[in-house]
Order: sequence, then C-alpha cells, then structure tokens
Amino acid sequence: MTATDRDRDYAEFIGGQLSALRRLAYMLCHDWHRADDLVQVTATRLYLHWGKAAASSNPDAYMRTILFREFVHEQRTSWARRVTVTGDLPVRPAPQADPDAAVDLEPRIAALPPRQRAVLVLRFYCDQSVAQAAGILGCSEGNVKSQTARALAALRQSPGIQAYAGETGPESRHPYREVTDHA
Amino acid sequence: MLENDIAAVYERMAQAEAPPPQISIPAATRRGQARRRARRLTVIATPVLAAAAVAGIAVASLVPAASPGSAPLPPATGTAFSVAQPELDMQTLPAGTGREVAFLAPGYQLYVPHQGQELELLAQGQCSLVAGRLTCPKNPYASVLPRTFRLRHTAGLVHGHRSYWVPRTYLYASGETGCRFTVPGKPRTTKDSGIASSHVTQTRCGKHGKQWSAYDGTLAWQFAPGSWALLEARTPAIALALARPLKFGDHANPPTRFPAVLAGQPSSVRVGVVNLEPNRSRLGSAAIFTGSTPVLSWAIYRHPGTASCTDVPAPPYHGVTTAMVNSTRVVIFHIHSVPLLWTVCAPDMSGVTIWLTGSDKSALLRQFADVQSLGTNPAGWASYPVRP
Repeated sequence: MTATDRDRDYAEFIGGQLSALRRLAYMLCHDWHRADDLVQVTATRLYLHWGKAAASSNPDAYMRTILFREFVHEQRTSWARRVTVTGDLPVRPAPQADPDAAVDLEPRIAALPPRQRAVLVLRFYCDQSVAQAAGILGCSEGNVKSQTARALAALRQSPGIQAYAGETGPESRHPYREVTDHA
Repeated sequence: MLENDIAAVYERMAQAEAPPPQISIPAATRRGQARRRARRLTVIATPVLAAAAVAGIAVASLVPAASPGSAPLPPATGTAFSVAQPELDMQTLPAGTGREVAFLAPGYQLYVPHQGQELELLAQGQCSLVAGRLTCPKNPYASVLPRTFRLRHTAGLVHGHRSYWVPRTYLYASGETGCRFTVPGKPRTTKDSGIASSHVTQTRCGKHGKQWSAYDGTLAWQFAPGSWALLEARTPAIALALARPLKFGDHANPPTRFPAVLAGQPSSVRVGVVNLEPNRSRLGSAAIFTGSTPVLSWAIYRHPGTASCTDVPAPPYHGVTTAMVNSTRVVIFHIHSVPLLWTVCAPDMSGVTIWLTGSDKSALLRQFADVQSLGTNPAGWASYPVRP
C-alpha cells in the first residue's frame, strides 16, 4: 500500500466518523469549539497510528480510545492549567416533559473534573462496562469505579439535587455498589 | 435514578443542533505527515557515529550450521552499506505491497515493505550469534538498546537457508496500576508502552498489568554470511510471504541517484540517512540526513505546475517570509510554533523543488547558496548528494 492509498483510506474512514466523533467530543468538552479542537487532534493522532488502527479488528474503538485519552491528557497539560475558558456554558432549553427539568444536570456535569466526565460519558452514553471503560482510558477498573462514584457523589451534592437524591433510596448513599452493578 | 438522568442529558446533547464543523481532515493529514516527518528528523540525534561505534564493538557473527542441502549463501556484503545503494530489491515484493520508506545508513538499512511491517537489514559483523543467541545493535530509528534474541524455533527455509522465529514480546503498561519497567539507560522506571521485553531488566506489575506480543511473525535469517535480516510482520504467514521473494545484494538495484546536491561542504560531512518516499504526485523525493542539520529534501513533480514548497512539510506554517538567494526566490518558514527547525525552500530550481531544513535560519540561507539542482534528467544526477 502506498502512502497515497494509506491517506485515502484514512480520509474515507475519518470522514465517515466525523459527525459521531464530534458529538462524543462535545459531550466531553461541553463546548463545540473545544470539541472541534479535540477532534482535530484526534484525527491527527489517528493518522499517525493509522497503520495499527486499520489493521485492528475495530478501528472505531481505536479512534474512540484516542479521543478519550487525548481529552484526559489535554486537561493535564500546563496549557490546560493556564488557560481558563471563560463565559457561560451555552444555554439549552430543557425538555418540558422531562421530570428533571427543574434540575439541569448539564452544567454540573460540565463542572466535573475531566476524568470523571470521561468516565460518565463512557459508562452512561457509550454503555461501556467498567472493564471496557478502563481499557479505553488506560487505567484500572478500580479507578473507573472510584471516578464514577466520585462523579455521582459530586452531582448528588449539587444544590437542587440533594433533595432529589434523597428520594432515590438508600442505595444512592452507596455509590460504589451502584457502580459495580453496572459492570 | 441519577444515572438515568445523566444518560438523558447525554442523549439530549447528542441530539443538539451542531454548528458547522471547524475540522479539516486534509489539515489533520498534513499535520500527521509533518509529525511523521518530524519523528524521522529526530533520528538526526542518533548520529551515524553511533552506528559506526556499534559496528566496531560488535563481534563477528558465527554462522549457524547450514542445514543439509541448503543452497550456498550469496557473497558477503560489506561491513557497511552504501547510502546510495539499497541492499534490498523492493521490486521483488509481492504484488500489492508498498515500498513506502527506505532508510539507509552504514551497517544498517530499514525498509517498510508493507504497512505495519518492518524489515531491518544488518550488514556483516553487526550481529553476533553465540550459543543460539543472536545479538544485534540497536535499531537507530526506533529502539534504544542492543537486542538479544534466542533463536529457538526454526521457521522453514528462506532463500534456501534456515530462518528462525524471534520471540519479540513487547511490554505494555496498563494505566496507573499497570506495569513499571526498568530500562537501563533511562533515568527511572517507565510506564511507556511498546517496550521490547529484551530491553527491560525489571518489571513491577500491579494486578492490571498486561503484556502481549505486538508482532507475532518476526523472522530472522542470514541473507549473506554474517549479514542478518529481521522482518517484523503481524503474522507468521505474512512474514514468510514477504521474506521468500526478496532479493538482496549489490546487483539487486540500480544505485540511487540524486537530482540535487549540497556543495561546498567540509569533507567531514557524510550522508547518514537517505529517506526515499515514492509518492504519486512526485516522481521521487529524499531527505538526506548528515548526522546534523541541514537536511536536504527534494521532489520532482509529475506535473511541474503543481510544485509547491508547502506540500511537504505540512502546515501550520509560521514566520513565512521570502528572500532571494543567488537569484532564486525562496520561501522561509518553520512548522511548529517554536522555531526548532527552519525550512528554506525553492519551489522550482530547474524543475526540482528543494527544501533545506535546519535549526539556524541565517546559516540555512547561507547554505542554500551551496545547493545545486541537477535538473530533471536522470542522466545528469549525482551518485552522492554531498560534495566538498
């Protein structure tokens, strides 16, 4: 395979995945501009590793792994520590029929640390098991469980959710057990 | 439950109206190409002298006993390969395989005969075989340490000679509680993935540490007395399919010729690496590493009108300016935001696009005056790209 064939295969693949990848990045970043930046970086990294990705049985998973790891890694860099994105999160009308319309979780999720956000997206949007999430993030299963538990605990501690959380029963006070049930 | 609400939030976000994307796949491709190129440039830091030193240290290899009926080995190759004479005839590769890259250096040649596979050729005296252990010098382009392989399992005949499967287990760390590897020459234990197990002297793994073999089909054989080939392939079948039709030796290829030369160089400047990159849009190109900057690259475009300084390396370009050097208009730029490497480029010097890359902008401009284009007719090309 020549370099041009390689580039063409890569472009076809990433072109087909772009929309889904953007939405996934948006769930992580909660900001379309940063999501696009993340996808751009992911696309570049995928190009670098396209040989392995194309040879793997599931290039989609390979690409998603790059996205998540790049997101977590990016937040660790000095750039991310130095630069604070100011401004309010985009205001989005909550569905009126939704029973939790009074409690908009999105800003609270956005306020979580990046790794916790990544875990939440993997567990509750991508429906990944604890083991699968650990594989994607490159960490241990225990780490995924604890990050999930902390994220859920932080969301429950948010104003307006405490009362709501109190209605969910005693199991909500044992987030670790809840999380393992999802594995 | 809170979990259901979180899932609902994500569903809502997934269905949110997305603004027009600000993502450019061509830019990602070009940037990826630039980073691949930058990776290759880092091999400059691995000077030719290192390979020569390793060659001096390496003891003469002991040829394993030939199996009955095996064909005589072809004549021995020299102790160092020529940068202008590829040892491998890539035209003999099976149909459909690529011939993407060839690195040439004294004592060592590296080819990428197909995506994901690598073929290393080590000249006579580079590797030693003692008591079933093959020790070869480091791969100057990838790994960091000399490598020792146990040749336990024969793999059938390649060119009529015994070949061996090389156990090449790569160790991968898994997350924060994965493995930590102790690698001599590195300041501390590392969690890096993809370290050849032969490099690791100590491993400390948590219960989540993993290790597996990245290449299941690494084949070793002698293609000439004392000259070893190491082929990394994804599977044994691919390794054998790639290895068996290969041809080696001085007569395998016409010498590489160069349409541009860097003249006026001190006699100490030697070409260390030639990076050949066949490309559909260009009839040929090469990057010539001399062990230190500058790096000379050239390309001849199939359609001269498409010649462009900004084809390679890739954007984003910074500090773009133009200047006149010996009546030739050149473009000057650097790729990364930090100007570690500057590039001076002439898009059309007698039909040849020429780049000169180095760390010192003013020195590059002076050196560019010493670049000579030899035109597009191969009859006038040089057999060595550096002249005193």
